[in-house]
Amino acid sequence: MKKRYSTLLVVMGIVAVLLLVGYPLFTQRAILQNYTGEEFLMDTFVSISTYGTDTALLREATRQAFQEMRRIAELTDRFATVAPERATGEPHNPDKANASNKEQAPGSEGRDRHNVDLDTVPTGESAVARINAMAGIKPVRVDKDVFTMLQMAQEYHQLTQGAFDVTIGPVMDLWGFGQERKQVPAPEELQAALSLVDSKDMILDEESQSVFLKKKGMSLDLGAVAKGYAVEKAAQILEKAGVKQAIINAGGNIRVLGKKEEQPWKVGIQDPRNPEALIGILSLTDESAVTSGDYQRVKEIDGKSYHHIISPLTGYPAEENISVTVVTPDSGRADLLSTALFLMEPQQALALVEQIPDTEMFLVTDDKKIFYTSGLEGKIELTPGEEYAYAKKMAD
Amino acid sequence: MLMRKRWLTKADTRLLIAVILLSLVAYVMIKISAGYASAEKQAVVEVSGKIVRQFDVAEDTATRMTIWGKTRPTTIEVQKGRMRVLEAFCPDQLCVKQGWISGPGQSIVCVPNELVIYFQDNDDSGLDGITR
Repeated sequence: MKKRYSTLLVVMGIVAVLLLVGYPLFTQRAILQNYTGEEFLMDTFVSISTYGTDTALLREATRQAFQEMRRIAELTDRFATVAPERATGEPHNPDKANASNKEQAPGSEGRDRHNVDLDTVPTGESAVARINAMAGIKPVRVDKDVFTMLQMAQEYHQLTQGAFDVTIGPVMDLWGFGQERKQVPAPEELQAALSLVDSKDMILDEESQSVFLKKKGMSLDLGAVAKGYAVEKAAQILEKAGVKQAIINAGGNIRVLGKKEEQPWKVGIQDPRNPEALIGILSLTDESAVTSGDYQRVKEIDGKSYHHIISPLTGYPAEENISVTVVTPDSGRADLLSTALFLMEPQQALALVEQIPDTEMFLVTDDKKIFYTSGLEGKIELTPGEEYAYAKKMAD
Repeated sequence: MLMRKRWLTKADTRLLIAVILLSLVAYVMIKISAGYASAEKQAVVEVSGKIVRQFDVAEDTATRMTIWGKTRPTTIEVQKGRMRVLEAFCPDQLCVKQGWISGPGQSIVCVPNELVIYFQDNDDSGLDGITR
């Protein structure tokens, strides 16, 4: 009897200890695994954090997502070098040689099976750099992603009545963000560059999926579109691969998949005037949040600072707002809209965003007034410092 | 009476006490280690996506360190539970201009040097990201 009881006690004791020590470890392991990948892409730091039970799947999905982002980055890099002009055709089409010859000698009779003379983008080359190089020369047939981005950009050029313009390249070059240049462009220079900025002179042909900038010297700058679009494509790839919970963060451009363990993801909004503080905390599920702020990229010239969100109407940094956050399911749209709305007057921006379905906005004006759309109610915890004041909230 | 006495012998009692004590010790140890981990912040320095330095930051930690980024050195200063990039060799100086960070989820990124510094989030209640 005695022996049996003590054996029982020993077993019970061991089980108790195992449970106490092992339980927390065991439950964590069985429930969720995290796989995070990080890379420097599109001038920013990108992290993709995935959650699930199958680490191999998470790793592979993350790898594919980064691969897609790299592809979009390559296509949209406008500072990439381009090869000489070439003509349309299959890579091994014998007509190609004739068509190229025709380009070199415009007077000669060349054969061209297509009525429209199109340029194509060589594999691995930047489509945007190609379109810019062919401005005023000929249309360039581009891949579906580039075409979709430009269609979206043109749509918002109309919706914002020109406040957003993807053909801002010549003006951005004068300011030289990302380059060493440290001079304020002369007004005459800016005027000349501004005369080349107009999305109406960007011809998108759906049938041939080609893009043509009508005037020589025009150039596209996809800085406000490409990052968000790439993030969205990455999110789609994760989803297709079977990832149900993930957060992609591309330098503050955020896209979440699903929820984080039953709870929405918590994403802070940076206080535009205090890098240590947050101005609000968003709860996100299957959506994206992107912020445009005047503090993100700043150049100091002769003691005055200039930020990188340049108005295509004036040629100077926009000064009405200091921070605009957009929350909407599609990250490409969120990225574009945060810039477009930043460039507008606060009231106009509110009026526009209320027309767009499933889209919310949090805006801080230059005089530190906060505007936000009614749809954010219950989705945001407001944590602004004392210097901020609430403007009238938007009614439905 | 007799049965009872035999049911819990001296050895049994000792074993029982030992088991209970062991469980208690294990429990307290887990609590302490968990508490200890979250009492201090962990700072992490990454270069090109790989962790190159990881250290605890307490209120009274004050240090400077120079870390080679992808191309150039970057000097990081830690003080009063905060950290910042003190000096970096890059054209824009965005990382230096960003100033101090202090909380989990906050980070400073130097793109030309592919260098990231941030505070590790020790408990799950924190933020998942910051849009900026």
